[in-house]
Amino acid sequence: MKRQIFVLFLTILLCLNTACTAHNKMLTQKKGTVLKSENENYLLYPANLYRKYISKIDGNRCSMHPSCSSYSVDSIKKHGLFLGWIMTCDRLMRCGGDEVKLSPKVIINGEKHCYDPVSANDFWW
Amino acid sequence: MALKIYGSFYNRFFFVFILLCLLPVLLFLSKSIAEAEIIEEPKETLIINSSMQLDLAERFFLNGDYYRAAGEYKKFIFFFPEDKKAEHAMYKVGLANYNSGHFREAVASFTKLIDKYRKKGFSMNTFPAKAYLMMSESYMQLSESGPAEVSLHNLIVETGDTDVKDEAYYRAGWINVETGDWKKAEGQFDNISSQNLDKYRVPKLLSDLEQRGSIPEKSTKLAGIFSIIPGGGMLYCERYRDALVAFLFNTVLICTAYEAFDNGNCALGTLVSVVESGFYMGNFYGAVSSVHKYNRNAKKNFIEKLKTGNKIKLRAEVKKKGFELVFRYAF
Repeated sequence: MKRQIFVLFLTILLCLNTACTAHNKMLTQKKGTVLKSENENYLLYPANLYRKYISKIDGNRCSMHPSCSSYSVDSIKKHGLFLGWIMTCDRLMRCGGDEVKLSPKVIINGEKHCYDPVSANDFWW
Repeated sequence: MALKIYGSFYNRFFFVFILLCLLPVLLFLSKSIAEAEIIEEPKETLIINSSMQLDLAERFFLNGDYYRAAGEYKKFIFFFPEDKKAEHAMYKVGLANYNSGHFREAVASFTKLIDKYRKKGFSMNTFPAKAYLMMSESYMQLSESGPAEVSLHNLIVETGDTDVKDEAYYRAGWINVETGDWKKAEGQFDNISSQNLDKYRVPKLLSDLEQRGSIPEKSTKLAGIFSIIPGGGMLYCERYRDALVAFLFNTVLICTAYEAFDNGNCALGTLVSVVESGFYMGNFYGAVSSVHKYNRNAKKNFIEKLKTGNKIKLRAEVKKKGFELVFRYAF
């Protein structure tokens, strides 16, 4: 039983650790409108939950812009739950990897981030 | 007492009557004085003629104040529509919009000029020809290659001048290169007349364009097949770090799910499997997406190389002698 609890804990930890902070929202959108529409969409509850409670403690460590949770919200909004989930998983695996070398850089709060919005990953559809 | 009251009433009435009579006189006098003051103030009258207005616009333009320059050129066109420089001013309105980054307005200005001053068979030094070329440039700045090509096509149809046609073919060829339509680009460059082949370095350009077969290209199908093993597709796209992460992540989750089911813990197994399925599909998605990014970058690099070695920079900037030609060659 202890072993199973440990595995479950490890799985959740793995998922949460790779998901990155999301204080930085899409630059082109107004703060108020983004929050309102996100709260209205129940599909985004997990991402919002993470952003509201875990990310604040965890800190802003994502090397990408928009951050992984923002990317997740954007992709679910744009392509629905199924594709949004797949795109989120893809992004979580790429976060901080080779994409950092290949994508253009954007300066956010004095720090260089790798610019990788949803549009850079669905342009070929 | 009654007489007194009557007397004071009479006096007041008389006083008001006098005032009412004087009022128009006073008003007339004050107006005359005010007018006299206004008229007397300016001692010199400045009459702005067409050349002064144009000079002001040109000064703004040269100083890079394109917004004001466009306004002054418009004033010039409004006050002196019959002036021989009106066509020039109209072109400069478009150019000021282009330089200030208002490409949509620039297109509108150039269209207006073309509609007003279009003549059959115009040559290179005429404003409609330049306007067509700049209109195409504006569309390219708006990332609208289709309308940009159409503008050049219209120019080719309307002009009778071989130089203008060749210029338009050359530019259209580069638009096709940018969009990766190699065959069409070759066709455009082939249309350039023999007299201008050397000017545009067409033989070298065509031979370099032939090397497009050497552009490295990855297959999306192969990437998909390789992704059956997590990270295989990423490895195929030369993304080694991403491949390792994808492989480890998926392997750990698959093993966890297997262990959970093996130990009879179906709930945990299902939960992990649901999470894993997203990552496994994400592995396919990432691989295919990486192939597209790889191919796009390879094509972009080839175009950049082609441009550095061959592209002649042509500016439709109005000089008295026509076009400015700049050639850049990388050793």
